[in-house]
Amino acid sequence: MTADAFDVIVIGSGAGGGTAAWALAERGIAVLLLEAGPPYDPFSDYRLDQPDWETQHFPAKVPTKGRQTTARMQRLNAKWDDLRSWNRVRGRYNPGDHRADWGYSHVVGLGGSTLHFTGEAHRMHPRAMQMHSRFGVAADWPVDYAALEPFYLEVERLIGVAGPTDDPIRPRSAPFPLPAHPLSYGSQKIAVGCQKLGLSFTANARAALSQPYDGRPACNYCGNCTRGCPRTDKGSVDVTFIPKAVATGNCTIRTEATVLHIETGPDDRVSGVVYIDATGATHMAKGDAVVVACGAVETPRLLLNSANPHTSDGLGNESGQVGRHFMETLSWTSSGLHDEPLGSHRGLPSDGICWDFNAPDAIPDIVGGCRFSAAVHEADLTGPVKYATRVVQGWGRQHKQAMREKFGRALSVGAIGESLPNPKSFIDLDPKEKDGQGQPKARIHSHLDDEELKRLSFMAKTSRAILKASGAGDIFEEYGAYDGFQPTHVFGTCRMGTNPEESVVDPYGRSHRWRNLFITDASVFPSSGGGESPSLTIEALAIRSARHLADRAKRGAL
Amino acid sequence: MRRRLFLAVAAGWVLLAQKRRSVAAVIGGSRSSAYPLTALPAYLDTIIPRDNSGSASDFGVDRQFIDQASRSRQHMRLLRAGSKWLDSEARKIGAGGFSDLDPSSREVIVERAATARIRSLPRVFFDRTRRDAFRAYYADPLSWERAGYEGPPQPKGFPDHAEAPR
Ligand SMILES: Cc1cc2nc3c(=O)[nH]c(=O)nc-3n(C[C@H](O)[C@H](O)[C@H](O)COP(=O)(O)OP(=O)(O)OC[C@H]3O[C@@H](n4cnc5c(N)ncnc54)[C@H](O)[C@@H]3O)c2cc1C
Ligand code: SF4
Repeated sequence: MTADAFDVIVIGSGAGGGTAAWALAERGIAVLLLEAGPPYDPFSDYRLDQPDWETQHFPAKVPTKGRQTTARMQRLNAKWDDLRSWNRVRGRYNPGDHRADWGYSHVVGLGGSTLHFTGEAHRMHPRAMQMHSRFGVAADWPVDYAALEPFYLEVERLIGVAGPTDDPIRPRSAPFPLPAHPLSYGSQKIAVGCQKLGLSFTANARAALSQPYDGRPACNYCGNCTRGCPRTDKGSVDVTFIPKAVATGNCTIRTEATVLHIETGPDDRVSGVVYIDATGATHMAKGDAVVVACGAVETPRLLLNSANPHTSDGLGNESGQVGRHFMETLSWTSSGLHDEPLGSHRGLPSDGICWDFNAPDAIPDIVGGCRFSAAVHEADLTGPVKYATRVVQGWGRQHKQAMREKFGRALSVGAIGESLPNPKSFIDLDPKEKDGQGQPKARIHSHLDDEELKRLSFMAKTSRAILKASGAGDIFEEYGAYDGFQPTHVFGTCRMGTNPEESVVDPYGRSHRWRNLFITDASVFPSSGGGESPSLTIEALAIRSARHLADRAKRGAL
Repeated sequence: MRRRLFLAVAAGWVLLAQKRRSVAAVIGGSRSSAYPLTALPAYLDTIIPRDNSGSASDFGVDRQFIDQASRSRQHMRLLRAGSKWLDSEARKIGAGGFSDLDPSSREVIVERAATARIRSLPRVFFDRTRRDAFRAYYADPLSWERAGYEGPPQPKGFPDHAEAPR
């Protein structure tokens, strides 16, 4: 096997890897970016102009179901029945007595899960980064908000984030590069509802262009970001960092290239990677450094699968922390029918947000915050098929009539809350199930304890109250994380910290032991935040880590 | 379901996995393997009748059903078993088959299926066909205008999204 040689090999091209690849290439470093999935063409792959658009979801080219396994989920308890997922037409979504595994929601493709993401672009609440010293839970971030702020701003400018002018919680050194999007007519009703309850509801920070920017057109409010944006105004990594990385002339991209393991060399250094291509042929690539960014489930898997006699518990796992502290998406959505026609299928998904409970001590008697946002688009109530099958009951003439009356009246409020780590939530290697290359699959263990469920209960009650105050108290559907595991935000499985015994990487994402091994994805988060969407933070951290790596490389200190 | 992404897929798994078991259980021993599907167009037109917009069969939903079911033996068996049930209910009131009944008698039989015991053959047949019929019918742009939908989402988008709907 001959080996190509590069300065740095980056594994995974999502929020963490695509950004790191650009930040390195931009510094003149020769990067090899290896991505397990294929590229997507927004203009031909995302068919929102087709008659059957609504029955097609995100057009995953690589099926993700079954890529990981899930350990048996917890038994459901009647005392939390109020948190069961249900629909007026269809009944309970999970009729069983255990939490259901609906699968880790992610994308295997160039640009990673950002291809499918909504595009909320949030900065962390500064106080949500000190959960251990303030509340004795999770771990403190070894980097504070002030140190991250310039990187946040840089990412916002690179991808084009539209947001409001004032943010009392997260100090800004400069305004958002683009003005906030106007609230849709439906979201304006939620704003009124929040006001009635004494809550704020402001324009959300969105990686979706409110004006043409950087050669991309403005959003036209089609409402379907999670199906893939065919206009390229959504700031996913494939239309932002990847073309910028390629334009440097320093980034070689290989898609459908799955890394099987990372090789180690002398002096606590990694030497390269072994990967397979689409034909099944095995290759080796050598690098002066390796950056891992496979997402918080696949990164620990790759490290554990890279065990060898020099690192028998898995690469970078000297602390035994690889895979621990898995944090997921504690989420809730309630949907109701408004009394007036709203045309609520129109607009930018999640255009408005209430941050009032985002601080870690904002929910009475519960540690960890949450936020509430307009969610009718993310609830996929944007076309007549979903109304006919989920909103309108019955059949016959009456159903047709009701379709006419009810279409466009659905409103949804979605909440995401802090996910605190617990010993029963972690990633390990499945002892039985292997992938096509004979590599053990990642096995996800997920558990929600009562403290999490209390937070979720607050989220559910408040979502219902907001809907009611907004004029949409006729609730027809609710769903949440209690009885169905389907996270979209995953974090924490290769924690960053200053203490090598309690963390996997240092404050710059560098392995405590392996001097030229870095991690730049959501695995490194010490805590999840109070419902903030993570990509902007992943990207800010990735640039910070990549610059640190580049500086070390220049100094010969890798 | 995703935090907020509706689990069209996810809920589908649970429900389908469950349905697959129940479909197998309800049609397992039935001797309807070659039963004709003559009741199907009339049945679908009862679920989605013609008024000032077309009925299910006007939009070719019955043909789509048969196309789809011909790709899955179990699905086809369910359609045949359901059609047989519809005809046998029609015969109980003296008709030759479901399609010979007048609209209000058809409605009585469909209502019986809609409210039948969960996991019984008529109920499984009704739940599955109702969902599939609406999916097929409302995925047809001809149905959109009457439902008040001015899509598809692209290429025009909804630039008037901040205003009250017209
Ligand atoms: C439906 C949905 C909506 C979301 N909405 C938002 C939102 O509004 N805002 C937000 O901030 N976040 C959102 N997210 C979450 C966001 O997309 C993720 O947090 C983010 O993309 C994670 O970045 P990552 O780099 O950690 O992993 P990913 O983006 O998942 O990238 C990992 C990449 O690594 C590749 N890979 C894995 N293993 C290997 C291997 N062995 N070899 C080579 N390549 C490999 C994968 O194929 C993948 O491309 C959403 C996610 C989903 C699914
Ligand atoms: S709503 Fe805007 S950002 Fe989202 S897919 Fe449509 S055009 Fe793209």
